[in-house]
Amino acid sequence: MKNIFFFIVVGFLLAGCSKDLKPVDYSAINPNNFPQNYKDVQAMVTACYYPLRGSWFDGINSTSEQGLMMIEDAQTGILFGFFGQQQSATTMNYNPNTTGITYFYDTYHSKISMMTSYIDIITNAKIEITDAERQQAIAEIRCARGLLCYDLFDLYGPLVIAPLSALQNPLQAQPLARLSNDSMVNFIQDDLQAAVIGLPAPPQTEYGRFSSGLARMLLIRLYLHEKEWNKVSAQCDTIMNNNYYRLDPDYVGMWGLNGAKASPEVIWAIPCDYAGTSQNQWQMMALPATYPGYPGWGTIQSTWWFYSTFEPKDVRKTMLITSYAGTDGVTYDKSNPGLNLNYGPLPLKIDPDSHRTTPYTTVDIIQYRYADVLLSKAEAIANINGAPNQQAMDLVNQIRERAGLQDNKLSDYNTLPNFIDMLLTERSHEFWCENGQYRADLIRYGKLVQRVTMIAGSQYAQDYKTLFPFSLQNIIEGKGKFIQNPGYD
Amino acid sequence: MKKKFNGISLQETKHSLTQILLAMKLTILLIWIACLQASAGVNAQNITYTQKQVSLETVFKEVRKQTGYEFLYNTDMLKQAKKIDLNLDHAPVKTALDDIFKDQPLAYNIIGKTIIVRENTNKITPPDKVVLIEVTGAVEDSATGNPLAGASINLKGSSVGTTTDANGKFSLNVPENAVLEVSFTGYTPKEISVNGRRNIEITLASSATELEQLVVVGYEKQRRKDLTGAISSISANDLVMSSAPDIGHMLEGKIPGLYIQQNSAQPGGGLDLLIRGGGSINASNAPLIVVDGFPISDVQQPGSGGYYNGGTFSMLNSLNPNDVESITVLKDASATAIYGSRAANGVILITTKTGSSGKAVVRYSANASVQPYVNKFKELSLSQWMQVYNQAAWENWLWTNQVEPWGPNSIEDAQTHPVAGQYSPYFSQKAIDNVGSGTDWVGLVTRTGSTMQHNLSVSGGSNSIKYFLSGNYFDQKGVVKNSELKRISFRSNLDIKLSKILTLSTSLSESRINNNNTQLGDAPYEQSGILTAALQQGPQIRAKDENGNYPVNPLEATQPNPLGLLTITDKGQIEKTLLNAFLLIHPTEYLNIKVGGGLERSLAQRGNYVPTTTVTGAEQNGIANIASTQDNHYLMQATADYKRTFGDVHSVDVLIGTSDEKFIDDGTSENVSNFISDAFLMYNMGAGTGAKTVGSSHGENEIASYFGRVNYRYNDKYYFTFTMRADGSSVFAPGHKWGYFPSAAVAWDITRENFFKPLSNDITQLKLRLSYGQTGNASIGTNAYAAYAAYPAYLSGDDQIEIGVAPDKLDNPDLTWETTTEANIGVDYSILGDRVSGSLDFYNKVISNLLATEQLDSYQTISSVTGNIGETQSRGFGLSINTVNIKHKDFRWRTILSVSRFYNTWKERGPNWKPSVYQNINDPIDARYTLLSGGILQTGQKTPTAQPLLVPGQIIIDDINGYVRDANGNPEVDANGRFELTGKPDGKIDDADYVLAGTTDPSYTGGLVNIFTYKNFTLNISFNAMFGRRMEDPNFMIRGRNAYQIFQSGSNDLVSVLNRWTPTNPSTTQPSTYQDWSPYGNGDFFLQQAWFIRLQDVSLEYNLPAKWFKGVFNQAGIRVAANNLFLITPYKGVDPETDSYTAAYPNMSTYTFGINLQF
Repeated sequence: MKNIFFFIVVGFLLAGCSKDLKPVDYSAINPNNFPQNYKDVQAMVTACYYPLRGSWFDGINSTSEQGLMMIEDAQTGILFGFFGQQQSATTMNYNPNTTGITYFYDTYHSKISMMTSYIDIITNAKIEITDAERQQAIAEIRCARGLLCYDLFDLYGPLVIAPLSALQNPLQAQPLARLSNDSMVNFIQDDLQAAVIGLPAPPQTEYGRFSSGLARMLLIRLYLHEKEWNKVSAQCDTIMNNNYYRLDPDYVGMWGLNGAKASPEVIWAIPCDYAGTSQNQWQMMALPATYPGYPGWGTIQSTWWFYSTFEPKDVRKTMLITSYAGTDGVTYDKSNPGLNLNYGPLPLKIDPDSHRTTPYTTVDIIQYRYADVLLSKAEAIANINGAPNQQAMDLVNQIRERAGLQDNKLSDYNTLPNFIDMLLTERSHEFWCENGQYRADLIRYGKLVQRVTMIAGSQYAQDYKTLFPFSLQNIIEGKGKFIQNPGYD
Repeated sequence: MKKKFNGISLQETKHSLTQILLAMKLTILLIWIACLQASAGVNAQNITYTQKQVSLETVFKEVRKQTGYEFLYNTDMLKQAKKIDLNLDHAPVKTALDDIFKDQPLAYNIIGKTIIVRENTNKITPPDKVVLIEVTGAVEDSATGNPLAGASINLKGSSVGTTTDANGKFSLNVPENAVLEVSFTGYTPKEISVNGRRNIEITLASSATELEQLVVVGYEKQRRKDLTGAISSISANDLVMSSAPDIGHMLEGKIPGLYIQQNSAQPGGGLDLLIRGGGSINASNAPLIVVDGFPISDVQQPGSGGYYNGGTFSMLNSLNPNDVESITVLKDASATAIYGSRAANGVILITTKTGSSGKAVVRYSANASVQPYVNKFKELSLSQWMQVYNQAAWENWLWTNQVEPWGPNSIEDAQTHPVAGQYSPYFSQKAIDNVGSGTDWVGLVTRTGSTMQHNLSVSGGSNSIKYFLSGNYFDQKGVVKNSELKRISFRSNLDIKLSKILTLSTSLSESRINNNNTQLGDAPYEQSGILTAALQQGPQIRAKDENGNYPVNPLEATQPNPLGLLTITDKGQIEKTLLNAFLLIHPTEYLNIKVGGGLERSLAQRGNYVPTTTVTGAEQNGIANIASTQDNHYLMQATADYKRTFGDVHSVDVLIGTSDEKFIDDGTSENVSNFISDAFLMYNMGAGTGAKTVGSSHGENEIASYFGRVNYRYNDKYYFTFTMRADGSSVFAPGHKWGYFPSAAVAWDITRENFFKPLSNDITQLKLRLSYGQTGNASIGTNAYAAYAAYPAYLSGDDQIEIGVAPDKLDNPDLTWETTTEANIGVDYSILGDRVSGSLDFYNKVISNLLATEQLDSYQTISSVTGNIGETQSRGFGLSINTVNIKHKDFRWRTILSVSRFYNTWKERGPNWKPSVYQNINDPIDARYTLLSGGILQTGQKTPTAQPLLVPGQIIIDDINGYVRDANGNPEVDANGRFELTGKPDGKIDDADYVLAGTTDPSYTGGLVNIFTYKNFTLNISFNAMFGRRMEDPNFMIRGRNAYQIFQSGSNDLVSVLNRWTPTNPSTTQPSTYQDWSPYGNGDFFLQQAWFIRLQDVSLEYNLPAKWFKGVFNQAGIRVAANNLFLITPYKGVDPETDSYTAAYPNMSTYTFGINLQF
């Protein structure tokens, strides 16, 4: 019997040796000891750039149908979408169930909350870093938050901005209302103004990172949106007076393999590389399968109308490809478009990089350029005065000269409406396939719906659709506090 | 059931890991010692033994062990014997015996290998007076006359005995006047007096309902008649060994309450197993599967590196179905609670075969099958395609230019100012008339499938060792090219009797599955499945050009050439070792102790290479991917079981136990691209110069448990069972780790009551059962601790990767077990002289603290957390009827019918529930919410007010409800923040118009098996069925209803596109191509009835007359079978069971031929 007891005891001991049952995992970082040092803070800041980079999966500046530029430009006649969410944009056929259109808010608005939390954590972290390091980290995150808020505000109108108290109790449901328009604008403005103060000047800023110059450029976009012409003018003046930037004489070269980094004009570009992390896949989107070299997927075209608005010598339209000899032996052009050029030319505003071995290219995604400061200043002057003047026209002509065009004469555009029409056309020629802000420019003058109607002949084009809808999930969780944009309810 | 665990402390783990390894070594040592002892018993003829004051019984045992001689004695005789001192050193048997019997009141005789002990009285019996005779005979079933193989024949009062061979024959040396005890599982035991007869024919009466049969119920066995829970079991004999590699397929429709749906028809394809329906929301609904006492894990192949889907595999693939003896399904809480935290979804207990003592029995079986491919996807031929292309281009021109009836313009207006050029036909009529047949893509990637299987087993044993060894080879080539599965498996089940009270039971199984994966899934483009690609690729594209390249469709550059996809190499391997060793200690008649443990080691590997002959491979100059996971699962367990009957009527059975399980999972993966040649495949990763990604992971988790069960039975009339289990799991937060799961059951066998006596001949069992209890669910797939994750987030100015750190997971400090509380009422019956038997059960389960991903406010950085989110209810019933319709000596017809149904509904929702306006608290779990369609809008018909943008050819949606709105027109909420409805049409189609239209669950499911036996023929016909289903045909939805893709992308579609609505073909059954442009959706327009009855298996077996092969085999049989022979269904798609996505792996009929031999 002794043996038996031995076995029982051994057996039960082995089985019962479980103690306190702790799991093990090596993939995660324990929040109790993070952040600990400046390196950790840097990693938090870098995480705030992540949603703003280019990535089909989760980078809002993706050069694909999952990115702002393609969807926004597809609504203005610069691009024409013939399927997918780019078609929804082109035809204004969307509602709260159109996920390709509600995508931007649904995917990215929680990143605003992450940035809010990070600002708080870094502000209060009891770790050994200098005040300057702490201040710059916070300024970078506030710039990121201001940029992201502006982009979403531009598409959807005022957003939900969760207060810290709600973010600290995530398990507790708390329906929130959208901010009023004024509060929203103030919120973005506060972030960007803080970023102007806290960020280094452009020459001291690493390429690809936020500078005070970018923060000012974003303020310009915010003030344009709100038609705060004096504030636009003031910010433009500061940038112009700082002399950090100048126009790049080689327009096309800015989209060369290393063009953006070398250019004195670029205010912010997103570094991209073949292996990704940040991805630029525009060649794949814009080129058809029969294009020689490294072909693409043919997901989008420009419009023949847009092409027709360029003057013959404009260097900026040389990147719109109107004919090519296909690998199938057919030469495609406007008269023999096949299904590759039937809506318009190929919008290849980027080096073809045809020797690459991945769908991604190393060409960086340019977001903001100094040219925008000049044209914004021109627009502000004209609006402040109620009519254009020579100073405004000179600014426009700087841009035209760089494009290889003759100066426009003030006498030909001496009323505000026709100066603005000319300026908008100039903007579309200058900034097509960059940051998608031409859509905001048209909305600012109430011209978007007529443009959609003209380009797509769509029965779905209506005024209320200049603001995108929110998905129903936001309305439901808002429990009556979150009000849908008019027309979609 | 696969566990991925996360955590914190390394030190701890190493410590307990060492302990487990130590225990493993100990177990192996035990096995080794046992084997040594066993072999010693066979060889030695001399005896070495030194001991003081030792009893004769012990000495006999020692002699037997060392020499193999059996002792024949009466226990009473030994009472007179005195203890002796022995000092034997290599003594011959005779010498030793003389020494042993010196001074004893006993004497001995040696006859053969038997030592007969007798009383040494004054009246000396000469040795030759005890006459041993050789008795031969046979044991048969009294009803059918079938021989009973493996029946035990024991000499009463001794340890001498044997078992019958495969033909029911035995022979045994016994005294002339001996009494033989004959027993066989499932039959009433008998005592037979030899009375000098040399040849005895013995018949045993079967308890036809098998009420005496032992059923595995979790940690022990019980008589079927004593069960108090809802338990179904099926013997492997009643299953048709089909051509599938796993036993799950063979169980379809056989067990009431066990719902099996094949989710992929590929070789070894996955099964959804559900017991009594799935009431959990996000936590796993898979039952716990226990093989010979070991809870096994689901191991799937690692991913392909994200390029395409490899399908699903049944977790039972590693188990050779031929090894299975029986399957028990535990359904109610009374039965399952003993498995505690993982039993909420029921438990499937699989018992494998063991040897029985007697001559070795060798069984060999082989089968081969073919699976002809019949193309059920009816696609457009090339000329049809060209015609539709022209028409679709014209429709697109009309649509884009807003020509009536789609817009305000006339054709002439549109031609004056066209949006995208003028229309001209793409193909001339002459070209259409003279074109060839085009490429048959589906034909190019499919073939006739086949399987080949060999199975060999050897079983047998002596009184001290019983063994069952088996090997299996299985090879299946699927109907889609490149899909192939091979399995080699081996099993060794050994039971070694170490002494009167110690038995070592070991089980070792090893299986290796090698498979070639084809590309599955419904994703188009880069991640395209091969059948999806074949359906989609236009017939105008050539399969291969003259340079050996695989052309793609220029309008769909990312859509791979299906033939090119065949050049992908994708090899998987799953190797599973399951090692169990238990020491059974039987110190007294009443006590059984079982101590031991086991190890399950699963190694899964996957390697694939996407060559430059595919679109994706060409983009990156070849992509190689390898990944492997290694999951180790350790179990230590001890149970003690005390069974005793007091005063003839009070039977008590107490079981207590403890176990500890540890899960250690590792994984690695590598991915690289850009190779100079496709020749390396994935075997030369270093040669890839592209971006490399590597990954590895490690996780550990643990479950510790204590459990117990008390059964009390009064006079086989009243039964009580109480079960309790405590489980601690590392996935939960401190303070919530332990869960307690009690259950209780009572049963009353009415037939045992006196008042029932008059009926007791007709009704042999009528047992009412009532149970109530709790079980748990902890499968959240992760732990509940907060964490940040680090990942490549941005590039520096020099394109260097910069790492970002962001919140990844929230902790939920209150997270705890999901608890199922279940009440069950059932009846087991056996009537009409046991001709009709079965059971009927009703249950009501409430699943509280539902584990699920809880959606937090979407503005939160991490907007979901694993939480306990409410309560659901699951009700249903299961009925089984087994009948013996005809019971004749030569002809027998049995029927097994099972029917079940469940209803799953919500009962309570968590605080973060965010309902749509049409959702209610008590809705079904798998609710179908839909808009209601009112047909297709025709030209000239008035545009519905609620759908101002609807145009002819689109689906009308009924406006039936609307939101209550405030003065600004915004929907209003009630006090709970829920939107309210007016109940009246409001001129808008929105969420308010959705209705609840039943569930996506089937209503009744069931199976019907008929087994006919006529002399040497056995015919088995099995049906299974599911009723009350509605579904959309996924092939029709993606490839069958509009012509847009044909025109825009040059792809092909099903012939049903010819029926689409066009201005000149005003269909009422199929909307126009531009339905997808409707802002109002499809509603329920495309739902179809999808019930089905499938003839699952037909099998005819013929046992060849023994005289044909006398002396060569003991038994030989041949079998022909057909699987999935036909389907009765109103569903118009390919298969209502396996059509779970577009271009799902086709479920084909299989024809099998097999032989069985027994030596």
